[in-house]
Amino acid sequence: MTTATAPAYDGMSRQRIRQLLIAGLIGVVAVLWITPMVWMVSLSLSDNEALQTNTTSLVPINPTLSNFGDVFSLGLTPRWLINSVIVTLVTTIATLVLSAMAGYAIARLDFRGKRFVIPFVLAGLMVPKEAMFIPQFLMFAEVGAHNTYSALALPRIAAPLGVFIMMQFFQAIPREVEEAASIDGASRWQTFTRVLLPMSVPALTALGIFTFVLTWNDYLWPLVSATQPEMFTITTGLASLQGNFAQATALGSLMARGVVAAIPLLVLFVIFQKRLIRGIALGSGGK
Amino acid sequence: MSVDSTVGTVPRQAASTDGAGWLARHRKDVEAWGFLAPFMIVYAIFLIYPVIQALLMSVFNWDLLDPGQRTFVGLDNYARMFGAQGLTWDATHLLGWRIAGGVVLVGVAVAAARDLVARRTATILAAATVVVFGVLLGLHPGPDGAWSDAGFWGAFGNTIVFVLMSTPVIVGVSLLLALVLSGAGRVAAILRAVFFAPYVLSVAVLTLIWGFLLNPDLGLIGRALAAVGLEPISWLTDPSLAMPAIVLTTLWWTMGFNLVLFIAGLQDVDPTLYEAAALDGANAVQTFFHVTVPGIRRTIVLVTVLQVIASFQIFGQVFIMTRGGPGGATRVLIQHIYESGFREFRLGYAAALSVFLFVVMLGASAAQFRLLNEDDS
Amino acid sequence: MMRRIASLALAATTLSACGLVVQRQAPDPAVEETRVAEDDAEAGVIELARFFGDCDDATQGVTDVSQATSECEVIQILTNAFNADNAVGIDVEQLGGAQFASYYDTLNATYAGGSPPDVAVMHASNLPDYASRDLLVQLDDVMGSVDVDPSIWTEPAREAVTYDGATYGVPFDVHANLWHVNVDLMDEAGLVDADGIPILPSSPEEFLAQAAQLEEATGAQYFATDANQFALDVMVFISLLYQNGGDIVSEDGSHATLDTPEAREVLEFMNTLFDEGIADPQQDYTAAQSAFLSGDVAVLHNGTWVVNQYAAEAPFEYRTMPFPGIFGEPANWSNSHVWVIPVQSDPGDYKEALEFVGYLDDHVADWAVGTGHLPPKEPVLASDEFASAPQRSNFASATVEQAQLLPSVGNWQPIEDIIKREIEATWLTGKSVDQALQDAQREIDIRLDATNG
Repeated sequence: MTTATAPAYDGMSRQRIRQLLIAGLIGVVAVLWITPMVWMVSLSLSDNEALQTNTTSLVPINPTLSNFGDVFSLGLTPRWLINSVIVTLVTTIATLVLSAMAGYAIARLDFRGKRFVIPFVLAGLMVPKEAMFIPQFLMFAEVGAHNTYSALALPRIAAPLGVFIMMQFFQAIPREVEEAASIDGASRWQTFTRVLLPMSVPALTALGIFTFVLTWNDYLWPLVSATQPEMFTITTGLASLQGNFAQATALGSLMARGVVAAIPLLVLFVIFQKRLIRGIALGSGGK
Repeated sequence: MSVDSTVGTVPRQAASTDGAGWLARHRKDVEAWGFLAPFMIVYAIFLIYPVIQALLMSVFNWDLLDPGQRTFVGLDNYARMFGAQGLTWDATHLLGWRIAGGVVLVGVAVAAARDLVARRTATILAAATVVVFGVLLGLHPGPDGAWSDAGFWGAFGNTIVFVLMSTPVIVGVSLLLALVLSGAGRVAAILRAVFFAPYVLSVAVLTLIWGFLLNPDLGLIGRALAAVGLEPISWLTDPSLAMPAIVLTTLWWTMGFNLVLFIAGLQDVDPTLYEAAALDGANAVQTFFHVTVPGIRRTIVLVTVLQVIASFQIFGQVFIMTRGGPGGATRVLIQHIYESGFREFRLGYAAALSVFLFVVMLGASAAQFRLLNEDDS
Repeated sequence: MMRRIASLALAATTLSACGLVVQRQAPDPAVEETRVAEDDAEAGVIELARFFGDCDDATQGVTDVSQATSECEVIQILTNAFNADNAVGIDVEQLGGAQFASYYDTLNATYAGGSPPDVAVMHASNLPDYASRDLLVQLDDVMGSVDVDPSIWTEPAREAVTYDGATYGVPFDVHANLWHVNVDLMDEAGLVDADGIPILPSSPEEFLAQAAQLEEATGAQYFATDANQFALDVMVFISLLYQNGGDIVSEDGSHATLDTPEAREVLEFMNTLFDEGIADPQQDYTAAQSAFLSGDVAVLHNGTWVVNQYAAEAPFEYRTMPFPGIFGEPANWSNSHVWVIPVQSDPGDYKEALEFVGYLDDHVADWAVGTGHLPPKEPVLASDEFASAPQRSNFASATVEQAQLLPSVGNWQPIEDIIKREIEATWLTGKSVDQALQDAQREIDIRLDATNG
């Protein structure tokens, strides 16, 4: 009996040990991972003067909220935040609408030219968006449309990846659902808006969040298009404050601005985490 | 019945050309294009048209600010990009890369032998490897010659290096973490949030944090090294450490995106497969390769392709953290495009560079899709 | 269907090709001048583009320029004062926050996007690119109306704003690179004369010898400069090159003159400094500066813009000294900040912009005293007010005399980038001096051809 139980005991503890090791490793990595952000928050709460001599404390030195006060009272940071919110919201909503409609058409409808449309759209996936900023810049320059919200939003609305995701999602929905709706007398549009769209909320959430983050963090395009400081987004605005000779004297304020720029997205993620993951799973089309 | 009543009328309607009839017959198409049109219009104008315009601009000498200096120059811009004076060929030039090419060739052969890739794909790959590594890499300007645009080759090389360094690292790390963190439970959820959080930071904040982190005198890493008695490392001013530092920064920043994609993929794998494997006595490694990997193959392809596409287009963090330094060690293609256009006023040349980047990325993505989707039934 | 799409594509292509050929009208600067002279300045908002950093925290609401302690603060306070006091009611809005290193890229983007600022600052070295493309308003006939007097400008200042015989800007300063010296360390090493003034080398051999002497006596680093971030190292190279009888481009500006024995000597000397540990190639701007201010470095090579800052902050005895003549007669790199008025595509009034530029011209003394830059006007240079500012008597007139402006060629920005990249490659990646200079010469020739051809 003892020999029979001894191996079982050994095997379990070996597995337990391995699990503990992995857990410990992940824990260490996670702590290291979160440290830079903790540091940023700590610096943002520290006094600028004190930071000129010591910048490596993880705990705020001479804790103060004045840096955050500065963020909103001086400079254009609030304006930049508003710009980012407007542009990102518009882009996200427009992308969702366009992608859902196009994805539905490709997934469910038969029409002339369909065989041509699909590769045409997928090819767009490989267009390097960043690299195409030169002709896009010229396009808006020639109609004098730079430094506007449209210039910031329009180039980003067409998202082949979005169409792809929505297409895969809609393909996974059984045809019976649509047929049931049309038997009830619903038109195509009504079926789409009242039945299919609500069902696609997870995929829409996933697409929406990624579009939101990508647009919020867009750097190169706003850099060349929004050259007047009132039109800076929070991304280009913040970047413009770095790299000056005088950077070293107001580190706390700089970090505070960074924190303010990051909070909206962090909150968004925390709220939508579960739906985000579920949406991606469904949007990847399962198998 | 409705069908019968229209039978008799169909020929008459087909013969007529009034609008109502056309609409009725083509209703399906009109409906479908109604859904498709908004996207297609924006897509054509803002994604496809720029590509065409880039192609057109690339055959012009297009001054950014002076309308009087815009002339047609044919393929001059491309000649400047690729050309050189005094070109020679050498069997040992860039030997390190040549040897790497040899390794790739061996890998392709092994994969073909093990039936991991189809014969035809393997032959194409092998031929491409020989052409690129064997022939093209040997071309270089001789002792008295020079490239027409040495900055271009430097930028291209740095971009390739970044893609090769970052893709396996970021994809690999995110896959490993996904394996551990895909479970349910609050702890897993918190940890997922921790690893995803950096993704929501903008590049300005990212470079702010990491620029200071990596600073040998003012940063945490320097302080930590000093605490262990090591010399502080000046990451961003050391030519051989700058690119790895950028890779590390990018890993911290974007791994969360891949992590979420992998977790979604993992949650889709049929749990009964795992049970079956356990019953068969498979250990962790075997389970991984025979159950997990096939199960998330599509996700792996998607993540890798997206990662490669993103890596080719890297710009923000490099531009802000090192501006392409030290000594041009981190100067990437997009920076070269940006500076050619906005610093040197040569918009036509910048357009030509953009076209080149597009073609390279198209090739890389197509190759990946083809290669990695081989066994997809 | 396919045919329809094909014809659409063809149409689109043709249309865009037409778009390429249509030329935008560039307004004629000469016409704009007469308009300016006739109108009166009106109240309104004008946009100012400048670098010099962001310092709203320290300058919000401040209009007393004597409180300024840095470049940023001086210009910001001057702007605040103008907004508060000007009789016309002009409000200057800063197109601010431009990163120094990408200022010109952003400026170019505003031009290309059709909305350049009303007033902008520029370096003399970059002015030719804009003047040659008729993007700046010529000021010869109109600057008198705001009391700008070109006859009292110093020679370098006048050169800075002149292109092709016409005046395109109003100089704000002449700035140069300097040796900022830790006198205490020099004293400890026995490198001061009877009056306590540091002895600086007058030949390469003396440089190396004195460096060794100081390091032995004090253990400190003799020389420091930003060797990889901003273009400070380029300034050292150019200064030494001038001293050695060389130049960056030929007299007529048609080709570079870097693949020359003079340049090779200079670059090899700089590499010796790094190789022997006299200077540290990995120090960037902030690192070099903090090493100096903490007393670990005897000589910091930096510019005129930090004189007041160091005079106030250095915990040791500090002296600003002109760049010594190491390779021959003293000469040093210099540049100039000038205020320009971009030509607007929407023909408008330049009167308000001119008012502000005239105001800044009135306050060059404040700028010179508050920063460390050299005033562009002879009377101010000779004035007591200027002489009594910290350290000025130690370097100002000597520096103005030996200052040599950068060549007036188009495409200066990429040319400077090339020089920086190539010389840094020699000490950061071990590239050979000959190869680096050859490559630099070739690349620069291509840029010069582009502007001359």
